[in-house]
Amino acid sequence: MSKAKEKETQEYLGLSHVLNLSFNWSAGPYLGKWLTELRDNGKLWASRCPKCQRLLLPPRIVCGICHIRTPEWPDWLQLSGKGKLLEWEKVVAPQMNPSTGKIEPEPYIHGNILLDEGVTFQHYLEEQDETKLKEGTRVEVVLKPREERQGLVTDILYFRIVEE
Amino acid sequence: MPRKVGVVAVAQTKYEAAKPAWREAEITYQVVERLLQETGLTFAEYGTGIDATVTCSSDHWDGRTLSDIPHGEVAGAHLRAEEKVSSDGINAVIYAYLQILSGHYDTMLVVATCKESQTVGHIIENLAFDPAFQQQIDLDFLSAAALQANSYIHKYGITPEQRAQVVVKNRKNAKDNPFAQLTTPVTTEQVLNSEMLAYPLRSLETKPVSDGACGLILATEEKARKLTRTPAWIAGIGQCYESHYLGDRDLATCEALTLAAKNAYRQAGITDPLKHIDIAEISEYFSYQELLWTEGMGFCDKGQGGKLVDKGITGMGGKIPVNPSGGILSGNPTLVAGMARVVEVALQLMGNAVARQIPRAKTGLAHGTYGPCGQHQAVLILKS
Amino acid sequence: MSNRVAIIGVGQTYHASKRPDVCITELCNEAVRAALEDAELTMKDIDAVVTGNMELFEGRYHQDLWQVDYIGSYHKPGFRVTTGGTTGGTLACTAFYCATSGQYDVVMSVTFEKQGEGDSRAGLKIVADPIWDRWITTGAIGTLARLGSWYMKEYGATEEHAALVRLKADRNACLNPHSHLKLHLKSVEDVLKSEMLVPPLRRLDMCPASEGACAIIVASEQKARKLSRKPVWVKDWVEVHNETRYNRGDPVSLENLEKAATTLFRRNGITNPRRDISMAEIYEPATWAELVWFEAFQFCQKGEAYKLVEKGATERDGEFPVNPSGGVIATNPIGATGMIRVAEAAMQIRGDAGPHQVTREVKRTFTTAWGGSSWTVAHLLSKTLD
Repeated sequence: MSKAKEKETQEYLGLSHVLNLSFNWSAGPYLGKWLTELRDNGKLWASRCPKCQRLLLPPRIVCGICHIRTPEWPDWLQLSGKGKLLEWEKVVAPQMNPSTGKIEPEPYIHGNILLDEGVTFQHYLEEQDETKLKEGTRVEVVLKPREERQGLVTDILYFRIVEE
Repeated sequence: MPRKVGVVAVAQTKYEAAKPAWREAEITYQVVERLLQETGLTFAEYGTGIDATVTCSSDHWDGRTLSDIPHGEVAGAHLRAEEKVSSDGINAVIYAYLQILSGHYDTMLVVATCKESQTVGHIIENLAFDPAFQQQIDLDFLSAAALQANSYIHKYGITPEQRAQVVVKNRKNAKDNPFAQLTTPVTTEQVLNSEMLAYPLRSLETKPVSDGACGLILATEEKARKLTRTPAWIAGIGQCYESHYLGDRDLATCEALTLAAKNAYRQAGITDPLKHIDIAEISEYFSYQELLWTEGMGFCDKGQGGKLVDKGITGMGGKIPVNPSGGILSGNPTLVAGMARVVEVALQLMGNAVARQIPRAKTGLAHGTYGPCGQHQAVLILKS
Repeated sequence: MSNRVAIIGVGQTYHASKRPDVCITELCNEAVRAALEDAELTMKDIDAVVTGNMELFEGRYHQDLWQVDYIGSYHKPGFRVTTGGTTGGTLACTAFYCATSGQYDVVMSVTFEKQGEGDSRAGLKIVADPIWDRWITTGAIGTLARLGSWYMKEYGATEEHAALVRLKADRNACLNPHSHLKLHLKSVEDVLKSEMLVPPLRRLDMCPASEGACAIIVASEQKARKLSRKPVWVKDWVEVHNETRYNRGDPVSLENLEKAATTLFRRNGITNPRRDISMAEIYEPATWAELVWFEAFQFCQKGEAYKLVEKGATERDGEFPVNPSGGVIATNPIGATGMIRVAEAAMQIRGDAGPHQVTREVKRTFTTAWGGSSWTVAHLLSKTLD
């Protein structure tokens, strides 16, 4: 057999493996409190770096820029859940959710929202028609009903446009 | 003239079976915060504080690609240099040392964190074996160690009692270590009657699942002397890889460790380990490994590791106390373990080991290893 | 710096979308043998071997252990460093640190990625925090799309300009024997008709997932002079990481890139980057990144990059070639990509890059690696020590 023919018919042996590695991540006192407040009381919070004063969403143990500890709840700022749309992404190419292994229904739109308190947050938008979106559009948070909330960031259903 | 580099501060969390209250990076920060408080250093402009950071974490164990994002964030990575070593923590210390020797930095922060409790070690370890030949037969580090233990025992007649003695010794030492996870002493009977996991290794001969972090700060001589009265100087390093395929190796020996130790000893001027080394912290993930590693490091001839522990030479009052901290058998997470050995040796040389202090400890050996049957070995010598 | 270091050998594989003919370690071995051949050395001459890649991409744990027999680290010292997308650039720094530490004189650094063997899209998604935003992240694509929208709005660039960058990359890649994507694109339309991913980012605007490896051999000054006829001197290097990018108040984060460039230029007396440096191999994961980051690295004023591209200034035969290798848009085995920039720049300085050699004389190069949450690693290579 010629070399070229050999290469054509050559079988490349491969080994298949599905890696199924389970995890149980702790949320810790900062994110943990943020999530329980969302789940149990439907409240959104942010913390503030005592040095640079910027709002931290999510609250976290240390401001990465100032390198100092930040306050724990209740020394946090409650958020109104209202803000304005800065930009959005329409995700067209199918995306697999690595936590579930399932392909997300697409296309979907998620937005980068500047909350009125002065910190940004990314989440789904209710409005899936791009022509209705523009920079500066007022939006507000919509939560899932209490019984559906599990202590996840997706206890927030989406942000919907506020008719002015 | 090569720069002289010393450990100026160390910190560790208490090692626990689980730390469900904390995220990985929050545990890292507990160590970082201690180090910053102790030294008064900040993440200031280059040359005036901590210049760069080396973190040690594993994407597999953290379940996160680029696991150093959150660890780096709390360890001063913002707009600064940070690199991640994803192998045993002693290598992170060695890498930071090399970076300072290069002249690029003067002061470095090194930190290692792992939360073994949050996932399944057996599956992760299996992924260290090559996919075609060894992974398929469901090897993990325990079963590989069992193969090595059998090989070692068969060749030299190491007895179960000698292996148990290592556990008894280290668990007894742990009682005096406020950071140790398992602080209840055990008896030889308890070890020999504990559940068989992978013949001949029983559960008390293996390390427990552990969460925790440790870290240290390295600095050049000029800066070190300003930061502490008792720096622990790095006097020698050695690292060495062994062949990967278990069948290529004589599992009853550890040539790679001998080569690594040889390099470290040469740099530190050590010609007679038993005489020149005052204290050793060795990475014994399994009971028999302490015996095997002491042979590899030249504490005794091949096959004689059992006699060292029989005669109490490696006990707290012995000629060369091994693992006064309680060692890995008393609880250290993977990755953190090797760095914790450096931390413990530094504590000893700084005179801060309190109840587990070895008097007049001036030269210490820290040892780290990772991979099946200690495929990678590293040795670091510290002197006060 | 107290000691000096030079690159005395480089090697890479012929990058492709799939290399089913070799396993991961054999892929690395190809690059290692190419580097040894280039340096005219054997493994006996190498004092230490360091390696790295994206940890989770092929799913392997402690990848360096399986690699031992294939990359020559058997009974040698060495270790593994993994910093995500910047890994290749970081591993070049690792080799530089080792060779200037006095501990090792000749060091080999090996990086690779064999992305077809894992799920790199999932691997990239799990960069995100598992509790906070992993469920919503689109990985790099979203960030890069935003870069494009912002640049167009801010400075009046158009999608055609991004297409020009893609055409340049393809022209160069077609001349580079090692590159992955050789598409022989003919016109802007060819680029604009490719699949839209997240507007304005099209498939051809994005880098591919490649399988490949790269190895470099470096030596401390004395050894470099002894062992190599054409040592490529490493003047300086810098790494800039940052805190997690949770809050995207500013759509574009250029701080790290700016700091990397400023630090290198300040430390090395570079006051006019486009004059004092001859060319650049920039880690550009998308066409838009090449435009925006060229400005962030201070090679031109803000808003000027797309005009320079229009004029052909960054072509292989231009006044300041950018990515004559074809860049990351043509070849992207992630773990190796940062190192390929260094290897390519070294060959350009030596004048033996091959058909894609730039036409002007190359005295100094600027190479970068990018990854993480916009981390940047940058190096300065030079033909001479001064």
